[in-house]
Amino acid sequence: MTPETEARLLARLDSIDAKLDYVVERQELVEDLIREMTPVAREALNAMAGQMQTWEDRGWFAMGHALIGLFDDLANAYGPDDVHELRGHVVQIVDTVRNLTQPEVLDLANEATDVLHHADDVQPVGPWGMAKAAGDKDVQRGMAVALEMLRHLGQASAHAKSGAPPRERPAPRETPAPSASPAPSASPALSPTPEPASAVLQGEVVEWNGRRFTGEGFLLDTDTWDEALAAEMAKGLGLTLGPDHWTAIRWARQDYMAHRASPNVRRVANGSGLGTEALYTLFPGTPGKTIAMIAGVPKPVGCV
Amino acid sequence: MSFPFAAPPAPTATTGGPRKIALICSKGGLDECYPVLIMANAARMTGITCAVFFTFWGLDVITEDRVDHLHVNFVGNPSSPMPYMLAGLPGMEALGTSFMKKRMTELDIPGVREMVGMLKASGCELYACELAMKMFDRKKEDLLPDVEAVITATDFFEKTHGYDIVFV
Repeated sequence: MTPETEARLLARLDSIDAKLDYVVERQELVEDLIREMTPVAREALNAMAGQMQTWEDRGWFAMGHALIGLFDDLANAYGPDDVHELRGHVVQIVDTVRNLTQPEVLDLANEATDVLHHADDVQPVGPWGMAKAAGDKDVQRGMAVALEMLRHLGQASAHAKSGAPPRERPAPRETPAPSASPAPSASPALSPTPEPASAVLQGEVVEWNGRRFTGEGFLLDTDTWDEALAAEMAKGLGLTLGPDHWTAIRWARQDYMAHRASPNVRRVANGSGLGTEALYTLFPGTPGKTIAMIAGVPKPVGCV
Repeated sequence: MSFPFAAPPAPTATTGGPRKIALICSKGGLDECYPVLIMANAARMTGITCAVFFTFWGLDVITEDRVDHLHVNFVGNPSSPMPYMLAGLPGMEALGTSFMKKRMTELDIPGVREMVGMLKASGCELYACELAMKMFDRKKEDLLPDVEAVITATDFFEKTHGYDIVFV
């Protein structure tokens, strides 16, 4: 061994010795700390156990347990898709909860609970008791409210079933276009004003004598009618118009102008005073339609 | 050029020739006889030849002292708006009848007597069943004057050869 290596070794040992000293010193410090901290830690542990005991007594853990069970159940019953869907409804849900927690609603719920608390005092009632109770003003109000709720429930369920938006107020029924307006557009099928049913069904317009007719031969614009036209139409139908024919035709026209609906056989028979039998003789086959055709009014739609 | 349309034509039967319908009215409820009367009238208005045979309770519809007192029957009618237990209570029939008559008036539908008269005037043939007449002990004089004749079912089918038969 050379003196250099010896010196290097010694120097190394010195450094190790110094490090050992340091480690021992730290160890002693830690031991001191533990020695000092043990009573404190024990105290803390005891306190914590006591706290837990209190929580346990209050049922927090049982509840937590139950909550975990609840989440399990939820996870079993609903898939991720459901939750995703739920996200879309959060606003609605919050709205509902807010509405449900309005003071007046809570008051009502409280009152209902009160009634349940006093349920022991209430006697069972049969049908007669119900009938008697129905005379009570408060019960009547309650029934009205319940009925209203039932109505909404029904609407909501119908809505849910059909998937359609909630029922809207039906649009007011359109009345046939007044005759003063210009002739409806050339294509009855596309025209927004309701045409006589026959025109829509036939979907075609025939021009004759400078006037427009439906495919069945009913005049489209009743204002283009005159008596000369009527006579010509009747001739084409194989009829020679006598005074009684004219009575029926003029009455039908006048009735259409007054009510905007073509009269059918019974109305013409009674209104013109000619009687049913005469009409079937004057206009054989289909008196109602034939009269309407010659009078230049739409095809009648009634059944009697 | 003359008017290029025909008078609204009477539909032709599938067999060819003019269409004909025979209706058999076997019930006497207000709600049960109206369909017959209205269908028959509509047929006539459409130019269809029509005959009606009144049999069994349907006789009431053409009997002078019954025609204005036909009632609506709620019992045994599953379409009735009345709860089943209530339908049989006294007065319900009268209530339903007056309600239906009111609605009919609102809709400007004539009463049964007027409807029968209209059918006759429009050329619809009205027949009473001979067997039913015997059974209910009625005579021709008890019937409305609109009734053409009292005939047997066999007679009726002979008269309505080639008609479509509708039993109500």
